[in-house]
Amino acid sequence: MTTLSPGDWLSRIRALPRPASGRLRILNVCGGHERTITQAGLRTVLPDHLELIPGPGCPVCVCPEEDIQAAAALSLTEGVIVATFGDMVRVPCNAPKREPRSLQEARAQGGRVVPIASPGEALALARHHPDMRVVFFAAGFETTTAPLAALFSRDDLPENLLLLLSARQTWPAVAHLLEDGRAGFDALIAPGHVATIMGAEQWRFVAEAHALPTAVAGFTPGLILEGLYRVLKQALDRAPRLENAYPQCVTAEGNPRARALIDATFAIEAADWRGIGALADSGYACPAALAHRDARRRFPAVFEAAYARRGEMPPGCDCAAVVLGRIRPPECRLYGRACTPDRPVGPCMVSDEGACRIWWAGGVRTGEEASARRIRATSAEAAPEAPPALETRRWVLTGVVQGVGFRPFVKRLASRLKLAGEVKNRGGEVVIEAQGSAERLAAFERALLEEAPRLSSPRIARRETIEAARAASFLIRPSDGEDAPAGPVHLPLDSPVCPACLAEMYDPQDRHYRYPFTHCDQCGPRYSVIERLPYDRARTALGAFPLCPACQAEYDDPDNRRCHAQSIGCPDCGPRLRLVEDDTETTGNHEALAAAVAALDAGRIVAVKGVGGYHLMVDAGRAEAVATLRVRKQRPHKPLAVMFPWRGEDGLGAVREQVLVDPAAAEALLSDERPIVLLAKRAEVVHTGGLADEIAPGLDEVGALLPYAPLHHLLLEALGRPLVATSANLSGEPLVTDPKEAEARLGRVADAFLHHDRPILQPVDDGVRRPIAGRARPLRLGRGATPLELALPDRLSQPVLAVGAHQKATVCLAWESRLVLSPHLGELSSLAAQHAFERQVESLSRLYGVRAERVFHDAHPGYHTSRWARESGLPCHEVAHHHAHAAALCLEHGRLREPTLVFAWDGTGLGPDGTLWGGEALYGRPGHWRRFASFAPFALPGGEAAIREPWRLAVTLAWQSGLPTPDVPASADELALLRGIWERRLNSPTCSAAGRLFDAAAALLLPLRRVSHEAEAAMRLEALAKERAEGDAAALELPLRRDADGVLRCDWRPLIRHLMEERLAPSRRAADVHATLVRALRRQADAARSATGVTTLGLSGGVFQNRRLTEAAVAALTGDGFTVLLHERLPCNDAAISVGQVVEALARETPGHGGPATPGVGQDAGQGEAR
Amino acid sequence: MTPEPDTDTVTLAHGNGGRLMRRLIESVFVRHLGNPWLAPLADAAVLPPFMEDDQELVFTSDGVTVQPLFFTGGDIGSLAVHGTVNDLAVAGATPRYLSLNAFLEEGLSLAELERIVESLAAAARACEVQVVTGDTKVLPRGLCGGAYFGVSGIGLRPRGLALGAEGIRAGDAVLVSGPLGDHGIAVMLAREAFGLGGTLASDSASVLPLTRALLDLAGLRFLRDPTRGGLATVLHEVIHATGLGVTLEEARLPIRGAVRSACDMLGYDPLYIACEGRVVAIVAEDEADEALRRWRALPQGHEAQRVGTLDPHHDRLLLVNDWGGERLLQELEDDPLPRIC
Repeated sequence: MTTLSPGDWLSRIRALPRPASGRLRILNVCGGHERTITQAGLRTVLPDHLELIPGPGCPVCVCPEEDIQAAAALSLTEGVIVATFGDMVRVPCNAPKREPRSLQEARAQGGRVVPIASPGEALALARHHPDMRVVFFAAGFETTTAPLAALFSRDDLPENLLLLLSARQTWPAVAHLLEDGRAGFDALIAPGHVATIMGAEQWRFVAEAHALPTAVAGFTPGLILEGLYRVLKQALDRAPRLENAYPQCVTAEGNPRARALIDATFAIEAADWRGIGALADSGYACPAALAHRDARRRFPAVFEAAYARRGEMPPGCDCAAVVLGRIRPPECRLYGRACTPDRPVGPCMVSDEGACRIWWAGGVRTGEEASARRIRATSAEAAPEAPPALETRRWVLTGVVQGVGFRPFVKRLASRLKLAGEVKNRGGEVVIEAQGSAERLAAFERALLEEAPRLSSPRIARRETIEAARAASFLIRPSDGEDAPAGPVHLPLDSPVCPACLAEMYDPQDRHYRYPFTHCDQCGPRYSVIERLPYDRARTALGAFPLCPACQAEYDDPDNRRCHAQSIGCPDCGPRLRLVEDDTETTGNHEALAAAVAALDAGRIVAVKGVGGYHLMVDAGRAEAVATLRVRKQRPHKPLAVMFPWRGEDGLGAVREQVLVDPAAAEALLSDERPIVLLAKRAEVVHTGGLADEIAPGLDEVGALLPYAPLHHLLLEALGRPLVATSANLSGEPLVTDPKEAEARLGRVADAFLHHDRPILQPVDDGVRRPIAGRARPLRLGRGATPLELALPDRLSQPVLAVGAHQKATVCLAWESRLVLSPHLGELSSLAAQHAFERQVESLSRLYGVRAERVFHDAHPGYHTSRWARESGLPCHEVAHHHAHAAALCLEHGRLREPTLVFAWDGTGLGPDGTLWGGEALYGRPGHWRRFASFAPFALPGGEAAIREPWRLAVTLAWQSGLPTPDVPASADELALLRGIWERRLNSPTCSAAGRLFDAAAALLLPLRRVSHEAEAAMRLEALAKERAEGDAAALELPLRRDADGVLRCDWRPLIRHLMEERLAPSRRAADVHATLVRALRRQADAARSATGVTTLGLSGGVFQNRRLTEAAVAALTGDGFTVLLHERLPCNDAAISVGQVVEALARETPGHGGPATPGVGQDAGQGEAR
Repeated sequence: MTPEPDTDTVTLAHGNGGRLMRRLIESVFVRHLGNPWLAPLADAAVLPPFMEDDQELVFTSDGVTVQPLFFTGGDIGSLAVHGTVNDLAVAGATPRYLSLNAFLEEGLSLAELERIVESLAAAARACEVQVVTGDTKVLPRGLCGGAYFGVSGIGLRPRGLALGAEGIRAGDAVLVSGPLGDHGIAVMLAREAFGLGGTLASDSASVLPLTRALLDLAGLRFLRDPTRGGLATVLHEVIHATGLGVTLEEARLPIRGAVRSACDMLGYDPLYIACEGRVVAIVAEDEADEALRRWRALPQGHEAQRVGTLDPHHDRLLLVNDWGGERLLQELEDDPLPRIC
C-alpha cells in the first residue's frame, strides 16, 4: 500500500460528504486509541460531522471495586505481597473511613504492594520471597491476558505465586452497549491490539448483527484516521461491514497460539464491570486446575468482607457514564474540580488508559474548551460569505493528474467551495480556472494539493490571475486536442481493483456483479492501456468500448466515483472474456470464467490475460501439474510466483497459511503495486491445498502475490486455493500480451487460454520484492511501480537515453531534471526480447514526447543494448558497469557530491581494465570512481560456461588455492579437459566477482552441475545457510594485499580451503561463507576509512539480493560506525544500471565538480600487506 | 666451411636454391606429386588447353597454417588440398590444377615432411587434381610452426552457373551435409594435448561429391564450405548479403556428442567451429527434399540435415529450440565475454 500520511487520510475524510444523518458518532474501546486521538488533536481537525467517543477502553477503570478493596486488605495481611500493574496502585475505591481507599493508601499503612510492569516480575518476586505468598492482582484486556496465560500455564511455578484475576474480554462491553438500546454511537473503530490476539472476526457482530460500520484500527494518527475514513465511507455507502484497517498486525483469526493458550489456561464467566454491572461471558477466571492459586478461593474471608461493602463509584463520580461513552469527561461534575490526576476521585482520572486522564493530559480543562476547539477546526469552511469580490485564477497542474479521477475531484471541490469555472486535461497537465473570493480561491488551491485523490500526485506548475466573464457553474471540459502545447507528461500507474469495486462485483444486486473488468477513478489499468496522451478514454485501449447509457450516466455524474474514469465498463459495454481450450471457444464472461476454473481445477495449465501481460496459471497444490509447467516452460529451477486467494478482512488470510508475513511484507503485498513478495514458507503446512515443492525446489521461500485484477479475484475465489501465476513467456523471452501471439508462442505450454479483448498497449510484468533489512526492497519493478520517475539534482543539457545492461534490462529516458525508468524488460538474448526493448524505447519516447540526443550504454561490447546503441546513429557513450551500479545508489540517496564507498558486488560486468569485475569497492562519487578494493583475480574457465556450470569454478578455485580436486559431479575426462583449459587459459577471462565466489562456494557444498538461472547457486547457498543462526558461523580472516595498481585485493583462498573441510556440516560452511564475506566487507571498509575518512558506505549489485549477507553486513557495518546505504526504490541488481548510466552522464556534464574524488587514496600504505 | 647439414631435418640450407634444395624437391615433392607438368627446375608450368566454350575458369587461393601438423582424421597436407579444392567445389567448379607454396621451418623433420607431402599427394589424387607448380622457402626456427602451405587452384565450371547470394529467396531451405564442428574440435584437442583419447576425427575431406550431387538442381541457390567461423559465420554473410533472416531449428542441427561436450567445457558454440569437409547449401524449398535425398545417398552425406529456413520476418540469425524458445546468434566476437550478470 502506498503508505498515506495522516494528512492524506485527513484530506480523504474531508473530501467525503456529510452523512445523510448529519453526523457520525464513532466509538473507540481502547485507551490507546483515545490517547492518540487526543494527543494528536484529531478532534480539532476532523469535520464537525464526525464525533469521536471514548468507550470502555480502560481495564483498570472497570476493575470491580471489591477487587481493589480485597487487594488492599490482602496487602496488609501477614505473609502476603500484592503485585500489580503500576496504574492500579492509585485507583481509588469506596472503602469505609480509616481503611485504605487504594493500594497506594494501603502501602502507606504498611501494606506490601509492589508495582510491576510484566507478569514475569511477579514470578521473580515469588521466587525471591519463598516464605511469602505473592498475590498477582491482574486487571487487563485480552492483550494482558495472553502473557498472563503464558505464565500460569507453566508447570514450574512456585507454590507461593497466587492470582487475583480481574481480566476482561472487550467485546461483551460493546455488545452490552448495543443491546441495551442506548448505544449512543453509529460506528466503531475496533481495538487493534486486542484484535492482534483475538482476530478481527470477533467484531463482525457489530457490523452484521447491529449494522454499524466497523473497522479495526491501529494506533498511529494515520492508522486511526484510516479507520475513521473507512467507517465514514461505509456509512456513506450504507454498507456497514467489518473492515480490517490494520492488516499490518491484525488477521481475521488473530494469533491462534495465543488464543489457544488463553482458552486452555483460563475459564470464561460472567464478570462485574465497575459502574456497569455483570456482563455475561465477559471475564476470565481461574479454572479448577488453578484453584490452588486463586486468591479468591485461598482468602475467602477477605473477599466476602469486600463484597459486602462494595459500592459503585465514589459519590458524584460519573466514571461509569464516561466508560460507557454516554458522557464526555468534562461533562462529569467533578472533572477538573474535585477530580484531577493529582487528586483522582474516579478510576478514569487515574489510569493512563482512562478517558478523563487522557483528556486532562491533552489540555482539556472544561467542556467549553472542548467545544471551542472543535468549532475552531471547522470554522474555515463554515465562515460566513465574504462580500462577493470575485477573482478568476488559472492553475496549471502537473505531476500524476490524469487517469486518477482528478477532474471530478476538482469539480467536487469547486462545488464544495461554491466556485465557478472549469477544469480540463491538456497534454499531460490539468488546467483549472476558478472564480470566487480570494479566500475561497486560496482554500481551493490548498485543498487541490492536500486532498488530492489517492493515486494522484499533483504539483502546481503555474498560477495566474486572469480576466474572465462571470461564470455560473463549474464544468469538466473535453480535453484539448493533441496539437495543444504539451506540458510535462506524467503517466498514471496501474492500480489494483479497489474495495468499492470489489464489493460491487460481489453484490448480486449491482450491475457490475461478477464483472471481471469493473473499475472506477480509484482503480484499474492505466499505464498498460495508454496509447497516447492526454489520458482520455479514446486514446486508451478502452477507446474501442463505447459506454452504455448506464455507464455514461456514471461517467458524467460528478458525484459518482466513476465520473470521468476512463477504464470503467460493465457487462453491457466493457471488455469480455473468452476461453480457448482444445480448439473450442467459450464466450460469455461467466461461461468462460467457469470453463477456466474447471480447467484449473482439473490440473490444466491456463494462460490468463491480465493487466500487463499473460500469466500461466496452474493449481499450486498439484505437484505433477507444476512439474509439467516447468518442463513445458523450460524453466527447471527458477521459483514460480503463487497468487493466493483474497481471504480474511485484510486479504492475507490465505497467504498466512503458507508463508510468514511480517508487517513490511504485508504492506508490500497489499500495496498498489501488488508485487510478488519473496517470503519464507511456514515450517509446518497444516492446511490441505498446500504448495507443491516444485514451486521453489531447494528453496525455503515462495514468491507470493495477491489478486489485483477483478478477474484474478473471481478466478481465485471460485477455485479457493492458490495458483501458480508465472509470467507467460518462454524462458528468456518477453511477456506475451496479445491473444494470437499467446496461442502461437504458448501453444505447447498452455492447455487453455483465457483471453479478454481489452488490448494491452504497454506490456508490464509483475514486480518482485524481498524483505531485506526491514523493507520490502524491489528486485524487479513492474506493474503499478513503473514508469518510475526520479528527480535529477541538475538539469541535463539534452535528452539522454540509457539502455542499461543485458540481463534484467531496463531503459531510462532522462531530460531536464527528470528521469523515467521503464518497466523491467528482462534478458535481451532472444529476438522477441530485443524487439520488446526497441518498442519500449520507442514508447517512452512517444508518451513523454522526448527524443534522446545521446545514448549511454554499458562498456560490454556484446550486450545487445551496446550493439543497439552503436547502431542507433546517435552519439553514444560507454559507462562502466559497476560505476553505473554505484551511481544509481548515490542518486537514490542524493549523494552526488560527497564521497561514498560503494561495494558493487554482482555476477560479472566489464570493468574499465578489460577484466570482469563484480567484487569491487569503489570510492568516490558519480563520474569519479576509484577502484579501492576488489577480490584477487581468478579465471572463468570457458567463460559463460563456468557460470552455467559452477562446479568448474569450484574446481579451478581449489586448484588455484593449491588444493586437490574437490568432489564435484564431473567425469575424469571433463576434469582433464578443464585442467587443460585452466592451465592454458583457453577462453578464460579474468574475473574478480563476488557472485562467482558464491557460485563456487555453492558448488563445493551442493551437488550442482548446471544452473538454469544466474542466481540459482547463490540462492541455494543462502537457503542452505538458513539452518544456522547468525552467531553459529565462523568468519574467516581473508588477507588483504595491495596489488601493483594500488588496489587492495582480498584473498579468497582461505575460504575455499575452509569450504573443503568435510568434517563441518554443509549448512555450517554455507553460513561461514556469508559471515566471512561480511568480515571482508568490514575490513575493506575500515581500510577505506583509514585512508580517506569515508564513513558512508553503499551496497549495490545483485549479490545484495542475498538477505542473509545484506542484513549481516548492515548490522556489522552500522555497528562499526558506518552509515550504510541500500537501494530502496530501485533494485540493487542490473535493473538499476540504466539509472546509473544517466547519473554518470549527468556527472560528466556538470562542470565545477571535476577532478579525482580524493587524491592519495591507495598511495599511503605502500606495497604489500595492508594493515 | 658450413658443416655438412643434418640430413634428418630441414635446414636453412634447404632454402638457398642450391643442391640441397633441389635434392629436397626431387626426393620429396616431385617423387610424391610427380606428373608431366611439374618440372623440378622450371619456374612456371606450361599447361595444355583444357577449357571448353561452355565452361568458365574458376581460380582460387588458400593458405593452411594448422597446428598441430597432424591430428586425428588428417594433417596439414591433406588439409592444404581440401581447402583449395573445396573452395573451387562450392563455386560449382571441378578443380584441375593446383600450385603449392611450401614454407618450412628450420628443424622440421624430413620424415614428417615426407608424411605430409605423401598425404597431400594422396588427397590430390583422390580429387583428380594435379599440383603443377610450386615453390619452397625455409624460414628460421620459430617462425612458422613446422610448415605453412599456400595453395592456389584452377577449376572449370559450366558457364552461367549462378551460385551467389543474389539468388537466395525467402523460404529457401538451409542444408548442411554432415555434423558440424568436428574439424575444429579435433584439431583443438590435438593441439592442446588434453590427454583425451582422440576418438573425434576431423572431417577434413574433399566436398566435390557433395557439390556435384546438387549442381543440376534448378533450385540450388548457394553453396559454401563452413570453415573458419563455422555455420553461423556463413549464415551471417548470407544475412548481410540478402537482408533476410535465417531461422535455425536447434533439434535438427547435426552435432556429435563429443563435439558438444568439448564445446560445453570450453565454452564454445559448435555453430561457430570450423568444418573442412562439409557443405552448407541453400536450396529452393521445393527441392530441399531432393537435395537432402541426394546427399544422404553419399557416404559423406548420410548425416545431412535440413537445418533452417531463410526467414523474411527478421534479419538476424535465430536459433529456435524444440519448445519454441529462441536464441540469437551474434556475429563472432573477437573475444567473447560472459554477459551473465
